[in-house]
Amino acid sequence: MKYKYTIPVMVSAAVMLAACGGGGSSTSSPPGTTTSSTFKLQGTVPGTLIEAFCEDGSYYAVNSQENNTTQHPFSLDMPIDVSCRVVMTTNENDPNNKVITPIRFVNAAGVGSTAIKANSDVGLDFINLALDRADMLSDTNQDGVEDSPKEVILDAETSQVLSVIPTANDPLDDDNDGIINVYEDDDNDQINNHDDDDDDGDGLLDIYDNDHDNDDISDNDLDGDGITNDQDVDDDNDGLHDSEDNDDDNDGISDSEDSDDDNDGTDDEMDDDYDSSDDNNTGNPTTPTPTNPSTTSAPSAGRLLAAQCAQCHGTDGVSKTDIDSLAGESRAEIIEEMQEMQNESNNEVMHLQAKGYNAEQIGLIADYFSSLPYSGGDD
Amino acid sequence: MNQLSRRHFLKSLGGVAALASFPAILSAATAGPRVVVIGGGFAGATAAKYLKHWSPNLNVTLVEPNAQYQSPILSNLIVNGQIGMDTITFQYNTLAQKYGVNVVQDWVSGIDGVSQKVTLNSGATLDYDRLIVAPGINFNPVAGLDFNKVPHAWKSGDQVLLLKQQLDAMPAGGTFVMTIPPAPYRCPPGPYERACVVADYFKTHKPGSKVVVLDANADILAEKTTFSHAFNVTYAGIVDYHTDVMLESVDSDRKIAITDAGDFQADVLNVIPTQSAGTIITSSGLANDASGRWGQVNPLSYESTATPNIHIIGDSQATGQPKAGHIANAEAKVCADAIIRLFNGDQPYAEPMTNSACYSPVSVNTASWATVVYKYDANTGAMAAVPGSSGTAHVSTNESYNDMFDWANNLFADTFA
Repeated sequence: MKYKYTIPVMVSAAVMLAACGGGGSSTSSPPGTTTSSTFKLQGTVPGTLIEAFCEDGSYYAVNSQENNTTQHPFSLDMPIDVSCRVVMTTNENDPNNKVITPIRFVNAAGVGSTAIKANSDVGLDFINLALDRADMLSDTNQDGVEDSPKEVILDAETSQVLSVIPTANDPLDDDNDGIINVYEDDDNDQINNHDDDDDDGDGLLDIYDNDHDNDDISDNDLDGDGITNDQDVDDDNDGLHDSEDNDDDNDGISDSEDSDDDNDGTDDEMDDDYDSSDDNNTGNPTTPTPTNPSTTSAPSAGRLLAAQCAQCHGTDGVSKTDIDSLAGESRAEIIEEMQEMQNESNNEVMHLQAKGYNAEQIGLIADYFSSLPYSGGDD
Repeated sequence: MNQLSRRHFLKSLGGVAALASFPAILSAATAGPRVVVIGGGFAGATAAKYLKHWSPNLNVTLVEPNAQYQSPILSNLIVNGQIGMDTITFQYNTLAQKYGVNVVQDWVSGIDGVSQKVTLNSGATLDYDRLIVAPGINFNPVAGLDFNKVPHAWKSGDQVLLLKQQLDAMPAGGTFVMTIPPAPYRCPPGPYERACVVADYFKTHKPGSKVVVLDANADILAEKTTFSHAFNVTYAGIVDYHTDVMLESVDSDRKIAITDAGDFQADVLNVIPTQSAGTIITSSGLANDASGRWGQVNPLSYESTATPNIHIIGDSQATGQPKAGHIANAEAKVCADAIIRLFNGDQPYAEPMTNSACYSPVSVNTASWATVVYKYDANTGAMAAVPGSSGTAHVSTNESYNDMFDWANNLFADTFA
């Protein structure tokens, strides 16, 4: 999966998470704006690209700041309370000598994981990374990715604010080796998936390949991050939230011209990504999937928020009238439609209603409806 | 994903109303915590349904004096002959059969908040762990007012049919006088909606007739753009709108509204009196807001600030959200979710949202609308409109008229089916 990213777009992705409630376009927010929905992961490193891959499919990246010392400060805005994996890359502009170091955090209690989350700013000590391949600890497959993640030991104080989350069945890391899928080298061509435009070496470029790992099971996961497109808020990992991204699949065709935004081969009008549970790695690990709502008594915020749509869209999102049903619609589509209506000024009931909810709430609502059985709504 | 067809504008009217009559079922009590709900309108019926839908082990009893519910929403379409009462009549048997709500047809005569008991007119008592009180509105007394001669038609059913009969019997060239109470009252756009549909009916069926609107408020309170246009343009020469007119008394036999701006003689008189919370709220010491008319609650759970374990939802509560069926349904869900969490030993969800949406017919084929989203403001402890989410139609349209039925029928189904 070869994808391009540019650092400044990270800001708009982060701003989007919190700044949409007022109805304005989030893209008009000044760069660098931070909100209560993000925290800053800060520290010092050699000259480095710092990336975060999160369980809702979102992607964040920042470069450390040159300060004429060997320890460059960085500050990466990350979403609060979303489990993310951090990867650090030195020499990122030199394809033949870049060194990619996944980070495993170990807290004061001795618990270690590549998965972390926090809800307030985190300050890390200097992280000493290899600057070229000769200095790597171990890279047996010569793809430029450390074979094992580097351990960062947290002091007691930092352990209080940065939660280390033991993982099992991590969708971002299918083999649970601490190297996330994005940075594996599936076809052993010494180019890690992240930089490889043909992850499985089948001759079909990833951008056109709906089965990156060549296991004959359709991935529906454009960016190979383990989060299927219907659950992924950033299908192409370009740092732009899909609702802000006018080219969700990075195929060079703007969504307004593209009849298949997520490049899964199903025309948008027909595509609810609904049957993905049969043939894809589904499920958004940040949000427990609600069971049949008629038999559960465990309240979730998503269930309560989604119930406020039911006056018009029907109980559990199953409409009895010509208003759309929402049950079983794809998460990405619900979010995208809500974002569109927030950014449009139509004087219509639903356009106004959309402006009543922030991005976090919309995500919770979309989680809930997408978890329900499909009821025949037409997008 | 881009422009998708969002909806089609067909109306499917009446498909929701459960027409079969069915005796109230007292299903076997489950062992779970006991919730008693007083009142089976949009607030109470939604709360009972969602409590059982979300937490089937609860023991939920709905106490409602009427055998069936006749909705005020869409009831002005009965006044102008567009629909029949059966279209807006709903039975409680779905709540009983599908969700397992115990439905008891009775009046509540008293609440004992200490021993947590409700007493019914029949003499029976119901113990509760949590009580939800949703009795809607009560009318403050007006000297000389006899609702059998001068209908309020502000609760649905026979009162609406009486108003329709009187209008049908009125000779062409007659005068219809209606009074609007000071806010807050049930359904802010409702009186203006009624003035419009009656004016439209006169235009077609009773040429030369007038609609005199006596508003206790200083201005049109809801959807002002649409209703001003309707009064001044669409129904120019028919509607005569007066502001700041306070009703003092009524001569019910001679159909005279006696006000601080003089006497208004009518052929058909419709008095919508000043309103308070349902009687059981005031008689149980729950009407503790500044006016003494409504019940103050914590908007996170709708628990009364007067008596613990008693929740007040719908028109009777004093959060300042509009008094209307759609948002009463919204409040009921917040309340039901909070009660389930409290039974689980958790706290209510800290950031509840509610919303209001409402379509108002302006003629036999056009309608207006208004909408707003509310969120909980932790700083003030109150529900507050989210900036940018509030708006109204600029003009009444046929499209909105068709949307109105799609909206109402899903709202009815979400509440009663």
